[in-house]
Amino acid sequence: MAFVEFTNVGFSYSHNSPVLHSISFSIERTEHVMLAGTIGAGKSTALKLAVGLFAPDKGSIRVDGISPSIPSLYEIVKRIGVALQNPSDQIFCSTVREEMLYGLRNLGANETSDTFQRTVALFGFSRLLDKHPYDLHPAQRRLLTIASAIAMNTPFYIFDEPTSGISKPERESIVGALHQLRIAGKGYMLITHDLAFGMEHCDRILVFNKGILAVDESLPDFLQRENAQGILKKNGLQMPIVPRMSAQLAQNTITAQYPDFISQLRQQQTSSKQAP
Amino acid sequence: MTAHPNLLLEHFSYTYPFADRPAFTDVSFELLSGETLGIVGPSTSGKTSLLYAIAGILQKHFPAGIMSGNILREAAKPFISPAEIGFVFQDQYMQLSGATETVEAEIAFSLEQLGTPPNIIRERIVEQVSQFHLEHLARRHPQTLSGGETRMLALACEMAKHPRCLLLDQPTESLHPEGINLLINALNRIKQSAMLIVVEHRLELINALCDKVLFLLNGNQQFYGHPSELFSSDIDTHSLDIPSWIDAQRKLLGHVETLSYRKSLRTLQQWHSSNLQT
Ligand SMILES: Nc1ncnc2c1ncn2[C@@H]1O[C@H](COP(=O)(O)OP(=O)(O)OP(=O)(O)O)[C@@H](O)[C@H]1O
Ligand SMILES: [Mg+2]
Repeated sequence: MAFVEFTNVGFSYSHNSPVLHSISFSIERTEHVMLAGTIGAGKSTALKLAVGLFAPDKGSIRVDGISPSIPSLYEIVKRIGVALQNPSDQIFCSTVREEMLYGLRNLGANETSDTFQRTVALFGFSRLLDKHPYDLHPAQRRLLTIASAIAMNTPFYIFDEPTSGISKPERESIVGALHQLRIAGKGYMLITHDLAFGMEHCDRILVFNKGILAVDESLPDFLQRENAQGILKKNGLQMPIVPRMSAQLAQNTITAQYPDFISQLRQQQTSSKQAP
Repeated sequence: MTAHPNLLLEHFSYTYPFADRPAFTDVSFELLSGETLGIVGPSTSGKTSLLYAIAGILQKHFPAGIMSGNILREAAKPFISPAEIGFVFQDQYMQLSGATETVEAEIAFSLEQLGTPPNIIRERIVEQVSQFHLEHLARRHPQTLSGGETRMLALACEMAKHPRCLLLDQPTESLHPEGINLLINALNRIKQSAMLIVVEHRLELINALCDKVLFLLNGNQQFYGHPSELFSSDIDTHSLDIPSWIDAQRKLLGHVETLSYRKSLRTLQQWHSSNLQT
């Protein structure tokens, strides 16, 4: 059974034309998926439906066999860790420590718990724990939402625009965290306008175009398509430069295949992360 | 055009009340109307605080902070008043007034605050709605917009003011390629008659848009000069997101051992030039 399953899901906000039209996809527990699409395509809406903040008008959604809804929210948050696009929608505690512990306390854990300690270390938050989240830099605030989700130690995560508003050091923290999730056998979905980032850290691509699922394919297969660039363009997106260049170089050599390149890159990163 | 800089900062420093180190120190640059300055550097390096100081926000909200050096907006003739400064915040959600019920009313609201006459407000709404392709959202409640749509509205509200000085804090975040193009076109349009200061991580954009770039690290000015010199200078730029074409070059050259050097160099140069054009 798939972990996150959308079957013919249709949805509209009150009085408006449909935002999602009969969307179907299923994601396994250990998959790493990116969800792209132009602004207003329905990506964040799909996230809100997946965790039960809204109910679909048509079709059905299952998360680990459970139908997400407000009453089942407690069951869902044990299964999917979420970082919303607007960190302010999510942060409401008065210290970084409490914010990161909030969900954990519901699970009966506390500050001494292993996942809390590990997550603090992973994001380098130990010196920030007593700060008020609103005294953090916005980029660190976004990291805090991701860290709080990871501290919950759920099997699956959905991060909405994790790289928005951040610079290189925070990006490195997120990359480190995604690697840890991968090593731990956990799945995630990245909703992102940063296709280069998504392609580096995911194995499957979904593209929404005005509420329609326009692409759902494994990334290596997708990138090897001759018209991958054209498909993205048709859906209002732009192929990032590395795979684009790689495709162009591949016309001259047989070695410059982007998927190989990415898997090598990952192995390097994983082995250098594990080293000491 | 006058040769006097319209905005002049000399050894400008600021420390927030109770902070143990300055937000930024010894920042110096000058800007003429029609010029664009890019500010780069990692988060917490003081970029946003510097924008706040230029806009007069720090002086107003944290008068107990310690400021030294000079900031001369008076250098402009006529003097640039705070009302003539537009500010696009890094967090697009922070920009919404919370006081209006439609996208159009939100654009009007920012102008009403400045006392703009109603007939001009109507013109500006039409202008911005069309510039940022907001037609289908014009009657929607601002709080129901998606992340990228909120960003477009924030840009529209600030540009509607026709500011003489426009400060933008990571304005391309949450936008898709078309949105970024609309933004660049809009900036190019107002560029002639205004000063622009852009904080941005995408160095491609800095290259394409800016006449000058300032690199801040831990509050210290590391570099001030032409964008093309930033990476050729011998300062340490490892804390910056390098432009994606250089990144690609490094990654791919490491990978494609079999490719002859000259051929790859030619391809990369083509990429470089086509990338700078887009
Ligand atoms: N509460 C709401 N009421 C009415 N319409 C809404 C509401 N929330 C979102 N929408 C609309 O639904 C559409 C999809 O929004 P959604 O937030 O899912 O887009 P998105 O793909 O996440 O876009 P972005 O990349 O800009 O964040 C948009 O056109 C948006 O304006
Ligand atoms: Mg969204």
